[in-house]
Amino acid sequence: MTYKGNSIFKGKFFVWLALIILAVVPLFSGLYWQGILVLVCYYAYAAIAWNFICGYAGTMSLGHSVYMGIGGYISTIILETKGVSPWIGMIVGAAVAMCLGVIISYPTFRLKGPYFTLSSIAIVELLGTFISNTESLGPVPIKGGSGWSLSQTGNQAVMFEFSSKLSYFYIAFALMVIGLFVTYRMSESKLGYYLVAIRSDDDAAKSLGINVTKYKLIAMAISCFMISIAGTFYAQYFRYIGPDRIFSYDLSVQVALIALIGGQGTVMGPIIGAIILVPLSEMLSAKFAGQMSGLNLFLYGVVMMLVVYFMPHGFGEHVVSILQKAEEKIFGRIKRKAKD
Amino acid sequence: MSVIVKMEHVTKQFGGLTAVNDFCGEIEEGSIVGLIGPNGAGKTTLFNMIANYYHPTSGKIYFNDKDITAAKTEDMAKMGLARTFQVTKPFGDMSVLQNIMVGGFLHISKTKEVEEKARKTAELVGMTCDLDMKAASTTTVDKKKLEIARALAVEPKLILLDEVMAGCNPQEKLELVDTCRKVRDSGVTIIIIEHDIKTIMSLCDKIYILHRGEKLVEGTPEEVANDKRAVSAYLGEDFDNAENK
Amino acid sequence: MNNILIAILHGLILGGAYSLIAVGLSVIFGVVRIINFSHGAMLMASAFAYYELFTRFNVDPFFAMFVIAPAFFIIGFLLQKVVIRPLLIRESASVLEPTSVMLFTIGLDYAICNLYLMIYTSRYKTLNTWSYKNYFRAFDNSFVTQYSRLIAFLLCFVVAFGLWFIINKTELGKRIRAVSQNRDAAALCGVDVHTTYGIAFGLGTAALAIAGAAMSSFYLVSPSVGNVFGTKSFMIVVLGGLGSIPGAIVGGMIFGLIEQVAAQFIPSTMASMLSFAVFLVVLILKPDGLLGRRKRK
Repeated sequence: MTYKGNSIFKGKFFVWLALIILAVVPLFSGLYWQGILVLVCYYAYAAIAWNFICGYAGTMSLGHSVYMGIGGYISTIILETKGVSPWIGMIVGAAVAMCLGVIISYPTFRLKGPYFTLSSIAIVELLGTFISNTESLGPVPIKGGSGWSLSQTGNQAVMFEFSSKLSYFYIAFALMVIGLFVTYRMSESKLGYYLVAIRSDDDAAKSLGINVTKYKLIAMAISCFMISIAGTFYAQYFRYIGPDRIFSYDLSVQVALIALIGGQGTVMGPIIGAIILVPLSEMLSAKFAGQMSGLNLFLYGVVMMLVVYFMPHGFGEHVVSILQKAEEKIFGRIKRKAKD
Repeated sequence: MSVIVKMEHVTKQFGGLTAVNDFCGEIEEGSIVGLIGPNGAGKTTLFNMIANYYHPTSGKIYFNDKDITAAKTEDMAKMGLARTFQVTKPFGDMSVLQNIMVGGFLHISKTKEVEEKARKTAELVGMTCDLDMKAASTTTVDKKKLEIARALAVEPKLILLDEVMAGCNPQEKLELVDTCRKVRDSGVTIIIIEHDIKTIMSLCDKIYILHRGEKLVEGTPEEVANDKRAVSAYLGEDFDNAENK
Repeated sequence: MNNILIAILHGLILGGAYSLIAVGLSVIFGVVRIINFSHGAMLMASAFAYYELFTRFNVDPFFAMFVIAPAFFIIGFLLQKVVIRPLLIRESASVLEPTSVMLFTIGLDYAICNLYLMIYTSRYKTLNTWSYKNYFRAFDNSFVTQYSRLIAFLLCFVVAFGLWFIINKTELGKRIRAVSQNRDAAALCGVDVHTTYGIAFGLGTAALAIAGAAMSSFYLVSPSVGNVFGTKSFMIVVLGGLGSIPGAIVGGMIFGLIEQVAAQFIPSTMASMLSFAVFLVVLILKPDGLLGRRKRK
């Protein structure tokens, strides 16, 4: 999707500009804003992973937090019981989440539209209930509803523990940029074209020789791999992991809404969604701390309704055109003068 | 010339309804074959069976001497069979060019090469609109051409065109006839469903008339036009008028 | 009486309550062909309406429902007619966003649930009504259940029969059926499609408000009850066959029976997992549900 016209807000240049600004801002901001920016990158990354299959192929999953939970739990359990570094645990968890994603999706991809969505909700409820009520699985401790508080390792980088928020920010930022890059490459490749074709019309896609299930499964595997890493990051950053948040329908919906509001099936959509929604909801819930616990999710709901109504393709395309209009107003005259 | 599609006693039933009954036929490579008949005669059902969108209740279908009766839809393109849909199904979110590229990825994986080839295919079918335009916002005739171009992008040996001219004005129909001839000349066999008798008589090498699921008549346009059963069942008296127009 | 038979009775009673909650959702899907994800939130909203009426004016929910259900009919009607209609029209014009109504109702669900969370906080409330406090006893006191549960069980059949009667035996129902079978053909025959949709939506929502009266009398009232029952009611209608009223009853009974009977043998949380598992298996093996009609293309 290319933007026409002679503007600084077009194509790759704009993306680079936005990323560089985002990378530099936390260097000059206080702890409070650094914390918010960590969450922006974390949610953006999770939404990128969701968008990879759900946004591009249009399979509306509202249970993606399952794979986040699997990744986070596996890396945490092998860290706490065997002392394996979370950097390795992260990959192990991702591999397991990927396999599980394929096994679960193979039968459920046959379901169309809302049926698939309902099956994904059932899976998140099923696994969430299971984890909450299981103290141990054979020799493996799960710790049920109480979850895991991670023990301190003394700020060792190899053990994924840092003293400064800035380090966590740059890890989340790097994950986000990698996710962005992977999505960009995918969208320009055979897989990207095939997924959008499947989303538009799977009968027509089949007639062109596209094995719908195969390509959806490939995308699902990559998506599960990516989102499970977000689970490990969550556990390490908050030093805690428990089923009521990470295995919840709420988290799944929140991730989906960020991508949908930013623009599903676009490379930048998830990031734009996270940049708009996360700071807004964090600031509001901090302001009314304790009194209005539903405020941030209320906001997600309202913004979602407005976006469905007024911007069916998400905020993304509007952000660019708004910026371009502003540019035209401010710099248009100067540019024209320079030409004369 | 060799036979590309062979149908032996093909029958399709939906519940108690027989949509196609005991159809036999052979399609020669490099020809344009027309399927005509009134609504509900079973033309599209026959199409869907050749494309393996449905499987026949009984009977066999061969493509290039290979039994494809129970093959999967998505495997047909690789074997060299492509189709269009009666109700056009463009990938609305994509540009015209990207739509064609989806077909092209079947044989090539490099995006750049696929794009170049897609531009050539667009030229072959005579797409006149801006190729960067969203497919959903193109005109009817461009959507029809897009369907053909997208199907051609999979480099088929046989292409099934399902009412590609429906909803087009006479000028546009002429354009599409021209496109079909070009496609045939590039070495692709065509089976076409069409309601406009005049167009089909001028275009096809061979015609099948279907009536209530059965093959009524087959032959060259002249043979069909002179067949009493064909005239009484389908072509009707209007046909003479159409001929004389 | 032995424990299993008692558990089956409890399962049927609970299943009746589940069916009552699910039947409205099924009607909305059957006619308008959309899954209303805000179903649970609306149930919760109706429960709070009963809570307010009971605590302020001491009106029992089973009397208050004669006011609340018509009010919810109007809410449902307006929601469809004013808010969802433009989305449906836009959707039929292009096939680009076939999910917009679903996404809208997900957003609505979030907005309503969290709005109530902000107003009422997450604290549980109980309505100490007559039917909540008093118990129905049978079989030498071996079967004991709240009267409110018994009323919910009976209401389930009354509401289901009422909806079935309206849809199958009245002039209005004829229009509803026409629209549900083929919207375009019905429009050509002079049926006002969107008003009919609105009426179906309103009927479904009114049925939900009746379920709310029962639910608030036997369960807790809190902003999260919507999630508890909402998710289950999706599963129930899909299990029974989306759009089928008898299907909603069968699905609800199956859920109730699984939870109560299996709880005799395994922990109750495992029993509720079992119901999700049964749902998944049925969905994968028979996507149209147990009593659903196969749709032909």
